[in-house]
Amino acid sequence: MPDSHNIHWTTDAELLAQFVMRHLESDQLEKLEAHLRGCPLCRDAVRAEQEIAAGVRRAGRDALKRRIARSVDEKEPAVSWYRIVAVAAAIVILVTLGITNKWFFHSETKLADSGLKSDSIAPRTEASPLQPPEDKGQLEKQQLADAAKSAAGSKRDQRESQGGGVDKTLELHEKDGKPDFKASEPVALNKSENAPMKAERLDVAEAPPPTREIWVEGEVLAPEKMLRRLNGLNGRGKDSASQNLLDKKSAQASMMSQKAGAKTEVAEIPVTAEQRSLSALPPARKNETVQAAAIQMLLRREATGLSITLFSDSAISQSDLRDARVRTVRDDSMILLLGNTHIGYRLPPGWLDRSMQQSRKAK
Amino acid sequence: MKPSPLFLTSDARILDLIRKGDEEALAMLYGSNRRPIVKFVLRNSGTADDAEDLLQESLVILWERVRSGRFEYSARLGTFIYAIARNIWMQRLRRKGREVPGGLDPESPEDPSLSPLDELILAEQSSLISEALGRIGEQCRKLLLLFYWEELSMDEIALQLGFTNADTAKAKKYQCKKALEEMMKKEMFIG
Repeated sequence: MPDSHNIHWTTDAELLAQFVMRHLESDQLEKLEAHLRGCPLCRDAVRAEQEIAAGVRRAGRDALKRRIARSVDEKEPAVSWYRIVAVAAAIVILVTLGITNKWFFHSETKLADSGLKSDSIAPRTEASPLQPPEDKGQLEKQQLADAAKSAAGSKRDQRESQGGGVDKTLELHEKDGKPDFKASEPVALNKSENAPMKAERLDVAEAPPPTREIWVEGEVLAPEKMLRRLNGLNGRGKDSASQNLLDKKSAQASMMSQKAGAKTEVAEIPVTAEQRSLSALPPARKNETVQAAAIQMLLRREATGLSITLFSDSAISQSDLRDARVRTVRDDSMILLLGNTHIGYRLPPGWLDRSMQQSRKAK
Repeated sequence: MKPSPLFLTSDARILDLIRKGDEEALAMLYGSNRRPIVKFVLRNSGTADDAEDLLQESLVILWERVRSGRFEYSARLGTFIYAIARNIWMQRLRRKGREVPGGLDPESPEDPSLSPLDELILAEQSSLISEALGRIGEQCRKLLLLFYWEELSMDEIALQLGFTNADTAKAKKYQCKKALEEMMKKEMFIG
């Protein structure tokens, strides 16, 4: 480690990269971190290096994911042979069951008609074998259901006899109240290594179904902060004239990442925006505790997209309202682009998904 | 319980392929692990698409761990992949405001503390870098990926990319990084 660290160690590109990738010993890390605390310039350099590293890593991951998907698509035939075999087998079983039942019924009916006992040739069932003609269908259904039940039962027994696999071990850890389940240390199977993994159901508390109209409170993000993050290479801010250009560029990048099938999808939803003064807020909303920089908004799902009513006394130009755009990166949040202002909103999970689906249908 | 010799053999073969950088190994794992993960996701408020994405994500994590030498074989690969997928899915459910049991893996790729806005910005920034990487030239792209993503040493990079020694690779990396930074600045300021 050169002596110059004590001045600005971040000028050493190799050291900077090693620091960001955590390839240094802990005592060395501590020294460098101590220097960072008093050096804003060095912190900027570290952040820029972190952003490059994160961007390259993400690019690598996304590219690998796409290659996996492509490789699987190429290998996988449109309909796999085992599916065809499974469907054919199911049809044969159902047809055989149907024929057998029909044959039995015919025999039973004939025997009943001729007044002979049927015990020697007919299978025993819960219902009387000598059903009147109108109950035949019901009995047939019952027999099919029994057959299905027994098949399912034997399948389940088979699964259980093979052991619960990974799930049981995971459940045990959780029941003990130890949050020690780590992906980096996967647990071993407790019964049989060959056991197929049973799809467990997590104890998930479902959110209540969202309504068509909701009130949300947004966080206004200063353009400088947005720019600094986007421009993270050197930590410099930019004048507002280049903001639109940046928006355009980032929108293009988002479109590209969508086309490229990147994991995080950035989608745009058509919106109609209007502004009302704060005095127009319903009394219930006026009493809400609202943060200083927050903007209250009424969101309504329409057939063609979103209708937005912003409650604010700040001057918002008609053109900004007309050009307002909503972008979403996840289904529980969205960003409203209003001129140069970016406002982030949290939404009930799944609420936006419905709007997007409706919007797609309308298109 | 130690994994059985049967799995040890096939897992060892797959791990060997990953260490050699053969992505065919991931396609093999995809086929053999798809079913349990799809089942799990479908039973836990997800869709088939979510499951596919989750499986890809888990395979990428396995790839990274093995390639960087941080992977320890303590259970069969199917168990490892399922465990990662389950953990990521729990994080995603948590972020959606649903209560789920179990702990989190601090090493997993998604940071639940990120705000939606942070996530959007990060995604955009990564898209810009990813786009710039595509235009920077094949050698630079490979070099930066090997360094930042695969975390190979300069000696290993020199060997893989045919540089005479680690110093040459280091100098080239410096040039490539500068070129990437310039490209990003140009992208943002001039357009």
